[in-house]
Amino acid sequence: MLGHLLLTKTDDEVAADIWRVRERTEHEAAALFARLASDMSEAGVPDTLVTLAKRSSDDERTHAGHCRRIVDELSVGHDPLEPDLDIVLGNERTPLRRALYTSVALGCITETLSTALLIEMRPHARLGVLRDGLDAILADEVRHSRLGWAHLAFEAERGEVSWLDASVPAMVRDALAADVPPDAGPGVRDLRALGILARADVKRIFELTFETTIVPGLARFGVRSSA
Amino acid sequence: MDHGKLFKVLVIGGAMLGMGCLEESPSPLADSGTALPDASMPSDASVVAPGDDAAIGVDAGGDSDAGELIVCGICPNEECCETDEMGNAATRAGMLCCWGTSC
Repeated sequence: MLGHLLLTKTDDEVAADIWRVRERTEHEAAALFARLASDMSEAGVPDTLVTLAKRSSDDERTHAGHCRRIVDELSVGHDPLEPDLDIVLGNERTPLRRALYTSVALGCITETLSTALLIEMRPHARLGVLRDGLDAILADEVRHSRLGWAHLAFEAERGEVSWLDASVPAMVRDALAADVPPDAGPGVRDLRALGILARADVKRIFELTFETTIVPGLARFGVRSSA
Repeated sequence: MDHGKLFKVLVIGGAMLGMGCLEESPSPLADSGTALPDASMPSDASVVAPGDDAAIGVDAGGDSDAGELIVCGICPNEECCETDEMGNAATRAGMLCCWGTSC
């Protein structure tokens, strides 16, 4: 449906729609990191990482504020979307597995991809509020990604993590669904100045990041990815 | 974008943090331009390329002869530790236990 609407909206309105979805995603990520901190603590993960997860939750709420400022700059009447704050990643039942699944899906895959996309996006940003937002978010996404890799490294040191193998394809699908913009059809607009990369560029960056960073990273700690 | 650097900054940098061998530090991108910097986030450590062993150069209290230490995980473990004839366990030369653990 969004693809159809793209044809009748201005560039700013299309970008505002996408930034509003990002705002909602940031609120949901805040909830996920808060739950991650709680599960990590219960699973005996070192305090350094628990603290980092709590901080990441705060960061994500700040990111939502950046997204809101961008939405408001681009358009009027784009009220916030309702986030799903009960969102849970995976179907793991123990705090240890639930935490690790979340760290890998959110940190190792989603935030690693986000870092790569933000680096690509940043030079094209036109609006001051957009440049400021991208800078702030990028700095934090690096830390969030590292949290995922840090947690995976810790758990790989103290136990078995290959149970994650079967879950990687679903994690990758979710990350792709969240980050690839809708197909605008023929006559695709160039919205890079508004912080929106072309669908083809996102896919290219995703594939490259997956092959050169995510797959070897997971393999380093004993997780095989066949996505 | 240099994906080799991305690997070092995120994967290796995160792994060092997860093994307790580094303190969490400000993002290496916080004060930089668009280029992704090396993974040597804190001033006292540098990391190696993907596929290599996790070796970090550690400034051991200003001793310039300290050389490179190999990060060998949470101790005790066989890679980090050795036991002498008297049965005393000690860290092997050039090895570094993480999370402040010891042999």
